[in-house]
Amino acid sequence: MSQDLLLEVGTEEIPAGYLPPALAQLHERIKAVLQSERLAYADICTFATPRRIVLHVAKVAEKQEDIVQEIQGPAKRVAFDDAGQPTKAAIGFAKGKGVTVEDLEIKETEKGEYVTLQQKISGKTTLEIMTHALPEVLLNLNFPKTMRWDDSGITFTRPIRWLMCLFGETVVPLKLGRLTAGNITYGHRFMSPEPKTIENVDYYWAVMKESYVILNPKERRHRIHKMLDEAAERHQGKLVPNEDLIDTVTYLVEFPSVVTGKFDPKFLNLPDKIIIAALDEHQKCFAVTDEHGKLKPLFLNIIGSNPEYKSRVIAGNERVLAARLEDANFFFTEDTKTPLATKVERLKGVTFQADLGSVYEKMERIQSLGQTIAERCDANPEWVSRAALLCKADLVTLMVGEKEYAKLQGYIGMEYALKDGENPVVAKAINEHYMPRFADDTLPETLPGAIISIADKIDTIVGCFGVGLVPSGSQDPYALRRQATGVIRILLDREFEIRLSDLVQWASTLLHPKFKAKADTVQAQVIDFLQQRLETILTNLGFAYDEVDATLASDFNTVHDALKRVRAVSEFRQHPDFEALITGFKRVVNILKNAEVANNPDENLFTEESERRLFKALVAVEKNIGNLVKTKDYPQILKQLVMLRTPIDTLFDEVMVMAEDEAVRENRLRLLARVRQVFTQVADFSRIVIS
Amino acid sequence: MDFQSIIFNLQQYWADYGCIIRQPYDLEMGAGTFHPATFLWALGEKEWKTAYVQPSRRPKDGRYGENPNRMQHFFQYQVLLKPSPDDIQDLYLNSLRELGVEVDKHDVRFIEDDWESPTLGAWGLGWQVWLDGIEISQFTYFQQVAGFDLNPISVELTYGLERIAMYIQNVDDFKKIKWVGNFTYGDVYFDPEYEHSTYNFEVADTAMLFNLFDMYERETQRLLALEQEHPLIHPAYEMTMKCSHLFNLLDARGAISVTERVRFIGRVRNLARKVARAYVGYQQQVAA
Repeated sequence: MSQDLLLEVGTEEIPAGYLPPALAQLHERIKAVLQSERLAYADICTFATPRRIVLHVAKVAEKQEDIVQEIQGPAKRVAFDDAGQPTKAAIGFAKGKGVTVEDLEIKETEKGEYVTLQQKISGKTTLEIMTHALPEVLLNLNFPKTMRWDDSGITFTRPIRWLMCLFGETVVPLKLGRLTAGNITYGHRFMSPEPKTIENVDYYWAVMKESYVILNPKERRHRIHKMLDEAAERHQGKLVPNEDLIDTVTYLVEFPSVVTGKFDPKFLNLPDKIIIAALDEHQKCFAVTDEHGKLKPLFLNIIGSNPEYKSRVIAGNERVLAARLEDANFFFTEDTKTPLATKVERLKGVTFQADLGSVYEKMERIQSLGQTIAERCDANPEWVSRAALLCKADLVTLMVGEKEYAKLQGYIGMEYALKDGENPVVAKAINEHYMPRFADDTLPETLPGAIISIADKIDTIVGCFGVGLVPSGSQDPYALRRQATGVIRILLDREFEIRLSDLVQWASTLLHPKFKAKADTVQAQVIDFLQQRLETILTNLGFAYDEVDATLASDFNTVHDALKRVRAVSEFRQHPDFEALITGFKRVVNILKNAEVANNPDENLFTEESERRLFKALVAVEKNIGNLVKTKDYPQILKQLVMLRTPIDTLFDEVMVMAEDEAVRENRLRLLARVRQVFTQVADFSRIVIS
Repeated sequence: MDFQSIIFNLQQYWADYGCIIRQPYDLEMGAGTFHPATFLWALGEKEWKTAYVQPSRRPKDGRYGENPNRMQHFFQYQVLLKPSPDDIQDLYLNSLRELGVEVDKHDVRFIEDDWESPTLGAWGLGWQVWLDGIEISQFTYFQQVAGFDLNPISVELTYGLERIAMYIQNVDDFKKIKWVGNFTYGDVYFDPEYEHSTYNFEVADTAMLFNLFDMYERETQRLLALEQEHPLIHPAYEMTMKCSHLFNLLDARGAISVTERVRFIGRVRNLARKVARAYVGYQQQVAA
């Protein structure tokens, strides 16, 4: 027989972001308990609202199966005397196990004959197991923060106020702190607060439904999404998508409904993102646009209270929002009284980092570095210079100084620059120089934006390394890994012909007076760091580790070239001759390992036909790939290399490379060194792992 | 309901619950938490229920009385219950009902907000309470004060009296809050708001304030170092509160750089910690 297990942990409001990971953990841990306790079951489900965490396991066996356990006792020669009569040892053993000597058996083991007992252990009941296992599982859930609230000594993320736990129709009397589980639950805090006795799982679902609690977060989320879309439509608008906020509000309410509020259209002169930040950052409301994507003076809010009384709720929300927008409007008006350019001077008073000086100094370095980069990629030097000058100026505006708008840095600079009549490309570059802001963020669209983004980031990386702020393990307070990834992603995207080592060198030239270590040591460290980031990026793109390793060992400095090569290597791996060719190449590399040789063999010193054949093939390949190298057509280059396969193999089969005659030997090594050279233009194939 | 009736109702409600109604502390402080009835009495094992109004000052928040929601001087209604009762959320909601707020017909939400006071070395977990989107209270289960783990746990409720009054009276500016009869909040507090804002931002003598900070800091240290049977904990704590307020004034005046800021907070926290240590030590000594 099996029964359903149901657990409801009633809590005070748990933070929205804590719940989804907690549910996943609860699922995993219950699964582990059921498995280790050998309890069969059909399905595990977990649900949560801000006020309850619910576990449902369908069709759990009522008890563990009985098992027979073999227990070894004393050796036969000790347990029975010569007459075959049991000794004290046998009697004692049987007594200890609660059986008689007749129940004992003799079994042959590696160490001789021993007394054994086949003891039947009856399985524990699920009720008994769960009474002890569930509290343990609950108390071991990981939350970002936990607390105490009474003198029981238990900790949880917020106070637990009731426990309801049933196995079938029987209460599981588990204890947690001062609480013992019963069969009582409560509905929505305001719409159905009275206690309700639950008889079984099906009854529980029905009661929750009637009590204004939608248990399943998926269902709540779906409803919320639908409500928001429909409300936007009712106002001839479209919801501004914000999936993260929908996730949050899903866990803020037990019974969602939507309200629509208005704000004064005069605030629409504020930049869109500022309005949206005022709506969602603090008030957790949603914005609506018209069919042209223009914001409407409307907001949508998901509330968890009785939908019958919406009007006062709306009035309250409108008032808070009006105050917030009024604040933002004040900042905007004050900030735009003087042009953005006049604020640059004040960056002298803003510290970038204690050892690296002010943001003003950083801006000057970005400008200088930006110029150097711009020269190499045909960018308009004036735009780059202007954008660099202005890129940090919004840090001293009132708007960015306010906590809830701080994350709009860059965007606010752009909006103010546009208002000042700056060139639109310059304005856009101000916003884009922070890109990519996170792992999958988009890259700058404008060329000046891309250039300043690289300059800003490489300046931060080299500067931090220079003053000893090197990321280690999980410690990376200046997000240098993210910034390095940003630099490389932009270089890949733009295919700039700029070497990483040059970038580091240029930044170092501007920064080295501030360094606490020798400039060349710092540069070497940074280059190594960048190479590691590139390695990670390429492996994340799906290339095998050895392909990346081989490619970067040949050269990593021009990143888009490295990408082309690793792509070619990876495709080349499918070629039928690949393994054989690489095996041959590895022999070439091995034999050259300790040899210091030039790569110009003398044809007259060849003694064997196979040497001549290889040389001929090599010269032909070199000639063929001459142009391919210029156009970086690596797939074609690799196809050419295949032609060397047979000549290499034949050489090794027929010729003793390490000939006695020194001149002949040296000449053969020179031939192979030249073979090696032609391969390593693409990658150091000796690093490819062959099964 | 006028402003003073809101206070009367809260006083009565919490007195009926069994709180001792304390009076405001007569020193400048940033929040009701600084009152010894909370800061010191949350420490130690004795049961303790108290409620009081505390005028609070945050010099940086001054807006010359112009901003409808921000003032450098405002009132908190503070409740501290030790140990925290199991039905504390209901007790709190009932107190709102007592103010005529029909909580069942409004959107009341407990929004995660973990409270921390770097100057007091105190933290707790809890929420901001939203009423139709307006933050009206702070609700915190104290976990540590002055670096001490608390046992039993106290729960602290802090009502923003002006916010609640604006909500109940349906006015959109603190100056329009009806205090009583024909008196508005603005009648009583506009001039002080304007004058203090001017003082805090423009006129305060920073050299004097720095000097005072050092003096009060030294005095705290001196008092705590006195070797006597009954240590002068409360006077020492007053000097610490003085330092905290002086720091806030200097901060508002823009006299403290970002790096110095951290150092100043550390100095106040260090004093608060020493006072708390002396208090706990003395309580244990008396109990023994």
